Amino acid sequence: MSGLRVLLSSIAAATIVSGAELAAQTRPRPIAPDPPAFTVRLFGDGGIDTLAAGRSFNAILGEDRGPIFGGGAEAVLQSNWFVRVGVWRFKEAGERAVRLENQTFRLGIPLTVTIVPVEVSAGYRFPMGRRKLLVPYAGGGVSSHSYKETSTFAEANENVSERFTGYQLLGGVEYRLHRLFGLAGEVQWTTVPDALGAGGLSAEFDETDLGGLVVRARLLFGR
Amino acid sequence: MNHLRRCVGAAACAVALCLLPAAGQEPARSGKTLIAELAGLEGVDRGFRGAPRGRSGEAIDPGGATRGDYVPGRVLVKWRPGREPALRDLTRDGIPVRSTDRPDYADFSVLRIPEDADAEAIARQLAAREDVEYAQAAYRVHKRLRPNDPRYNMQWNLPAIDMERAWDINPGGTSSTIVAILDSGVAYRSGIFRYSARAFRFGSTVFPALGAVDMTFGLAPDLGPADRFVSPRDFIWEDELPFDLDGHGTHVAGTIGQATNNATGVAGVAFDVKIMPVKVIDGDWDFIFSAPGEGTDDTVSRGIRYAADNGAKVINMSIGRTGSSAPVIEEAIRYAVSRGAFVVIAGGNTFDEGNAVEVYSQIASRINGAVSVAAVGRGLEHASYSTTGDYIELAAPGGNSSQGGTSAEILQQTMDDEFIFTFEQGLSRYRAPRFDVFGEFFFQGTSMAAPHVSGLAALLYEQGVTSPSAIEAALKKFAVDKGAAGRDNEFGFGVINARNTLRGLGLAR
Repeated sequence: MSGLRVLLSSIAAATIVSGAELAAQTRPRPIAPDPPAFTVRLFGDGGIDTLAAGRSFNAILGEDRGPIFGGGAEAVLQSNWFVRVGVWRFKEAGERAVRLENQTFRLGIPLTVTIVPVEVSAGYRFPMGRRKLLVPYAGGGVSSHSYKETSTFAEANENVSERFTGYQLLGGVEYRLHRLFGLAGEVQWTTVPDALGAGGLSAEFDETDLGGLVVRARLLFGR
Repeated sequence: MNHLRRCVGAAACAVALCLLPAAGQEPARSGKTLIAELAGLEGVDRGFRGAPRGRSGEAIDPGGATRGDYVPGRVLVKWRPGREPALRDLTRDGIPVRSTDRPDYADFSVLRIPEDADAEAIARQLAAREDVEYAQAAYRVHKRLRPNDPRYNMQWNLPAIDMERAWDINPGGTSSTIVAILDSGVAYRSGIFRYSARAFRFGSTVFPALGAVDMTFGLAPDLGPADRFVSPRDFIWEDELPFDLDGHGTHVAGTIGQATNNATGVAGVAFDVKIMPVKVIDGDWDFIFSAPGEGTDDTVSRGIRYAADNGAKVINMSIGRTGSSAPVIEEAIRYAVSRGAFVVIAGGNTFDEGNAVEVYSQIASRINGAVSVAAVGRGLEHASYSTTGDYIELAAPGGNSSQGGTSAEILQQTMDDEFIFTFEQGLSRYRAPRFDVFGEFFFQGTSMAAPHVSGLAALLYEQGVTSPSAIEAALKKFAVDKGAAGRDNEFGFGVINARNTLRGLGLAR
């Protein structure tokens, strides 16, 4: 009996060894593929824009901030650099007003302000941890801001529709919820010099910058 | 027409000086007795009475689209039947069309083009094509309150301050705002009242006493309805029946609040506000009827305080005087302003008579919340009579017959002077006057300029600018600068602009 056990064990061992040698001879060992040079993600975001021309906006809108909604696409390079194109919109309704004796009187004439910046930004990501779930990032860029101001009783040439160039600095943190989804929180400072201040209440307040501080949450789609 | 001119400005007081009691005649006992109410009875409207010879009024641009006043991003095109081209053909031909649409109830297409494209230029480009029947930009159409009052086309003064577009923003105010008219009274109600007319001398003629006469008063037909008049008060007769025995106050009231767009007569600035008639100056017939009071500083001062205490938000004073200071008036105006009333004072008509300083308007310039108003003519030129000085703060249409004749004056409805000033027609035609016959008459003076400012102030008050000092600041801020750059002694800060004042400012423009 003990002689039989020794024989079977020997046969099994020989079989395993010969099988392994055979496999090694016919299939290469699996290895991880090369990562792509860059990945493209889409994003949608929402947040609050606190405007630099706060007194002017407050006089017209009753507040110096308002909600924004936007979206865009982002390319993340293997080297952790990223390039992003985004667009968002700020649209708020208020009233025409007049500033007299350091007091603002709103006149009950509806006015709508719409700001639509198209931004191109670039920056660098700082992945943290082995699984890289948390990724702080920072960057900056240039933007083109469409500014529209329409009001009731205005002749067409009295409404405003202009475009201005701005610049932005941004920073945020991205967190991967899933292989294909991520969440980010971001703060962006934008300056759009000399967009305001030529007329209207912005001239009265001597406020010329259409930029502001944007705080937003972002949902990312893609790796 | 001479006596029309006599009504100019604050002349009502001065006229009384021409009327002296006949020697040896005792003035009759003063008083007026109600004979009949005649509730709701309007006066007789004789229509236009102050027509300039050979002229029927100047046409007013009816408004509407102007070059550049179109919605960007659209062109309207009607293609010839069966010849509508493909978008790519239009693009190939250099027409930047993004899309095309055929809306309901349209036999034309709407081409979408870039918003920054010149829609008029593209329309011209399209119209030149053989496959296009017509093309045009999408011109914006505006609501326009162009009153249908038949003599509105003779009221150059209202378009001159951009009143039509201002009415788009605030169509005449509401009954929540009271404008007090401190003047010779207003034809604000009907009734028959018994007066006693004493003898008097006018020029070299002595007119006999008529004794008791029953006078018929009528509500100015184009100023009503009767319930728009609130808190009437007469400080000449010391009662609550401030009848206008002169016509000046009724004319002033018309500029402020003539019933408008009622297919009758003429228009006014703030045609839905309440009017408070406060009589503080006396006319010829007040004298003949032996009114107990006269238009003096104390009377006016009481009228100002009365108006402020009874809810007036704007006080129009198309009255004034030259001479010594008037602390009693200054105190009263300061009181009224402190009660939230904006005070408007005629700048005076002394320029071509030595340009004597107008005391009341000089006071106004010292008070934040009260303004003095100069007059301009149809071309917005300084009116030949309008007093100048460092106290003039604003200007408004008051008429200037020296450039443009009578039609360059201000047309409003008031009592027909033919039926009032019967003593001017000679002793043989002298008779008791009638105060129930009305017509539209041209007057000129800073008296006529001030009510434009008062009416606009009332509208601005309703827009939310309620502080008298802020109203003053707004009127000055949006005035159209005339004469020397900045404030000057002829126009002050400029000619008021109703539309710009009511519209205020946007954020960037």
